[in-house]
Amino acid sequence: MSSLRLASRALALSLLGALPAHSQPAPAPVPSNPPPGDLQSPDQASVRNSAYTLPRGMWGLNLGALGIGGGDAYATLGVSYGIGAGLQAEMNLAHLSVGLINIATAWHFVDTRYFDLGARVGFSYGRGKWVWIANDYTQELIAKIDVMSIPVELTASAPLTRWLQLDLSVSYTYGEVFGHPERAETLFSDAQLGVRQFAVRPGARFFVTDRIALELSTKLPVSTVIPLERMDDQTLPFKHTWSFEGGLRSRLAPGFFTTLRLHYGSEVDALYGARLYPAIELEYRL
Amino acid sequence: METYRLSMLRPGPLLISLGLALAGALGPRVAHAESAAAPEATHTEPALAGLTMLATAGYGASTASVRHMNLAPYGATFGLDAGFTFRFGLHLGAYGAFSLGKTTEEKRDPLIGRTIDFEADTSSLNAGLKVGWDVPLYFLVLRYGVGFGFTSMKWDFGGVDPGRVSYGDAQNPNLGFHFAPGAALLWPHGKFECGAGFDYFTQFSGTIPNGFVGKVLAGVKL
Repeated sequence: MSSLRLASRALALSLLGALPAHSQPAPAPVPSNPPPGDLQSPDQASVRNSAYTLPRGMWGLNLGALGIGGGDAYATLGVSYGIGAGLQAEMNLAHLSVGLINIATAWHFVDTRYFDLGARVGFSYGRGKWVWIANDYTQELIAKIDVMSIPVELTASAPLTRWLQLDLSVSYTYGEVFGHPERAETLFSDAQLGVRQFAVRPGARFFVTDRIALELSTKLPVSTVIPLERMDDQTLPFKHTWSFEGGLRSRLAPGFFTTLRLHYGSEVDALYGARLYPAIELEYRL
Repeated sequence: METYRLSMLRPGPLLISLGLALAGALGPRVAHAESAAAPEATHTEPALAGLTMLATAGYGASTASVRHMNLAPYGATFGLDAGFTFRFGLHLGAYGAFSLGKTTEEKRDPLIGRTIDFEADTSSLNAGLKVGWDVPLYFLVLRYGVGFGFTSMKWDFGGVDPGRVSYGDAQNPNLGFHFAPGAALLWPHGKFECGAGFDYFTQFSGTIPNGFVGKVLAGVKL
């Protein structure tokens, strides 16, 4: 009986102790600077080789060097904009400045917690005569040639956990080479310019912290053909077309990101004279 | 037996009431502790600001051939990295490193004349300024960097005329500019700092091969 009384007294005391806290709840602190989220947040997610696009009304400015691939080869001065409804438009001004039109649009149309799907369509056109930056020898090679490329890509992204995301892209690039390449055919075959290519790209992203991610992916072309006027189409073997890239992406400051990548492959060799080559990119989102 | 039963039963309500009392008393404190936990966690990240002077040692390999020669001016590499990191992460610095290089066996088979077999002995000095950014990674620091500088490559082809191996236009030492992206993972511990990283030297000159240099770093942070 006495123990029951003791227990009831303790219970009453504990309730009394707890009552003021419930009756006068402390006002929730209003953070002056809300936490910036992580690299899986919609406003911070990488749009490179993923299903994601910029949120509505967001601008992205990219500055890159030594890139690989049609969209960011050699140099990137990219401007992208989130139109809304998952749509994004982008243009590489660096390529435009040397006589190459390079525009693309992307659409993130399936958006769920564990699975996302996006599509991307690009258009690039290079007229040999316009490429003023090329040296005399290259200028002579490409002067009579125009190259058009339309890559179409479907990408699935699966953010399985807070630290892992898997990506898988299926792409078809329609390319056309106009004019008479003559000796330039090796340039096109080595650098995979103007090719018709069907490829898959599996990838994985490991989010090491809320502001650092390790990104790995490999391009595995199933078929690569170079269309040449008045000549037989040239088929490139897999060993000359596959490539791998590994990169570190970090948020340096709110809205400010960098990616340092290492590329490996024959395509890299054709562009830079080495099978292994770095690329660096700065991105500012506002 | 009765005593035994009481002793078994008494602690029950006592423990419950004690638990409730503790919950009532500690509850709000726990809540505060949790709300304070997030900013406290950021304090475990290393402070970025400071002046660092790091000795470097590593090994580098050429990633491209030059004029059909597999020159190896990197190899065992020793140097110094110094710089200042601002509190928000920007890092400005300078670097210098000497690479002992390696001797490579070369062969040239010209259309006219005899095959030329020779040894190419090369070494290099790389120096420049670096712009980087430090990003906390738990108790470590991930440092991105881009170096702009020059490479001075010494070469020796024995008695072979460099003109006969398509290298006659290169001076000795061969001087060229480079652009060197890289990264390092550093562990700051008091005034001591060490880590590991890499630099990729992309050469502007067509007569100096590009190179990948992996390195360890150790030194002081003030």
